[in-house]
Amino acid sequence: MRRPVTALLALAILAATTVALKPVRAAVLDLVAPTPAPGSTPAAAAAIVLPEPPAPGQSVPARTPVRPTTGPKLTDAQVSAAVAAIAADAGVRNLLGGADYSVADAVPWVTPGSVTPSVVGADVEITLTKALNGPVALPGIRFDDANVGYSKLIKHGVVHDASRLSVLVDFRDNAVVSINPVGAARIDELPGNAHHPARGE
Amino acid sequence: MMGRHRWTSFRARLPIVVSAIACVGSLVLAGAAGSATTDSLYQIDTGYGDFFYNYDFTTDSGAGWNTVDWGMSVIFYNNAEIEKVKGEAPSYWAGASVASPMWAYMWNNGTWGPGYDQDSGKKTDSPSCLGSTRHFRIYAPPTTDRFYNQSYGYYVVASTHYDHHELCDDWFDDSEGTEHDLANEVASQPGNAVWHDYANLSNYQWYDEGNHHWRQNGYATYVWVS
Repeated sequence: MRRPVTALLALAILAATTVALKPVRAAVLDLVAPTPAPGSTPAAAAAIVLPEPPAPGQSVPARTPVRPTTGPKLTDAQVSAAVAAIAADAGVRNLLGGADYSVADAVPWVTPGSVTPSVVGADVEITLTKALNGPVALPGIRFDDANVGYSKLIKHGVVHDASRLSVLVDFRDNAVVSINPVGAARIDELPGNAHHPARGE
Repeated sequence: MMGRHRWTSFRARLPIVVSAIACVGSLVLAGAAGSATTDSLYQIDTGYGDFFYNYDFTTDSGAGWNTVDWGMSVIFYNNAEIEKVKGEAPSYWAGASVASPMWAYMWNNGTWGPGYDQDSGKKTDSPSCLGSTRHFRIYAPPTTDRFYNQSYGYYVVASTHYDHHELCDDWFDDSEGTEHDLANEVASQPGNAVWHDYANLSNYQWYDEGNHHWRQNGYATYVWVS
C-alpha cells in the first residue's frame, strides 16, 4: 500500500511544481523566443504558399532575390576592425609577399545554437591583385562537435590560382585564425596534415 | 487553378508538436551536435494539402529551429522521382558511404504522412583534407519516393550545399552554387527545363554559424523533369 501512496504523492508534487513553475517557464520562454521565430517550432511556423510551377516554354521574368534586412549584420566598426586585423597579421603579409589586395565582402561569424546569436568574428573575402601559386602553410580551425569552440591547425599544401581568400578574424582575440583560398583555386595536399573523421553536414 | 485545397491539419502537425513541446519545455536551446539554427522555419504549401518544411533537419525527432541543416533550394516536378533525379545528375556520384543522412518533414495529403524522409544524398567527390565536394539531399514520401498533386505532378524537393576540407578544417557553404550546379545538370537532360530562383521559400541566411557558413538566398530553383 505504501508504494501507491508514495507514487500518488510524487505525482501530486510534480503536478504542483509544474503549475507553480508555469509562469516562470513562460517568462523565460518570452525572454528567449523572439517574434515570430526562432522560438517557434515547425508546428508553430506559418505556411508559405508557392506559386504555380511554370510549364515548358513558359517565359518567366527574371527574379532578383531580395535579401531580408533581418539577421546578423556586421557594424561598420566591426568591418573596420576585421580589415585592420588582417592588415596587421604577419601570416597574411608573409603569404601575400607584399602583394596588394582589396576587401570584396565581409559577413558575420556568430555563435551557434542561440536564439540571440552574437557576432564573435568576421569572414572577410579578399581579392588579390596577383594570384597565389606554390607551397603554403595556412592557418585553419576545426570546430568541436558542438560547433562552438575550435582548435587551431596548420594546413600544408600547394596552392594553384588562388586569387580570392576567405580570412576568418576572431574578435575575441582580434586575430586572423583561418585563411582559405576560395573560388576556382585548388590546393594539393602535402604531408603533415592531421586528418579527422568526416562529420557529414 | 481549380479546387486547390490549402490547409494543414492539426493531425499533420501533432507529432512535431509533441516533440517540440518536449524540446522547448526542457528549455534546451542548443541544437544537436552539428545542428545549426534559423529564425525562418516555415511550412511550404504546394497546394492540395501537401506541405514540406523549408529546411531539412539533423534529427528525425524533435525537429525545430535549432536542429536545421540546410534550406530546401530545388524543386523537381512534373515527372520527378528521387532515384530518377539522382540518375540525371551523374557528376554527383558518391553516395551513402561518404555522405551522412538528414531528414525532411512532410505530408502528401491523402497519400502519406505526416512524417520524416531520410536521405544521405549524393556528392561530387569523397571527403578529403583540402578538397571540396558539392552535396545535395533529396526528399519525398518514402513509400513512393515522390509527392503527387494536380499542380506539381510528381515532385521531390532538395537541399544543397558545398563541403570543404572535411578531414581537416571542415566548413560548409555555398548552397546557391550547388543549387544552380545541380539544377543545370538535371535540366541539361533531354526534355527537362530550369527556372532559377523561381519561388521564395523564405529561408534566406547569409552568415557564418561556426563551421556552418550560410550562403542561401531564400529562393528555390524549379526543374521540370520530363
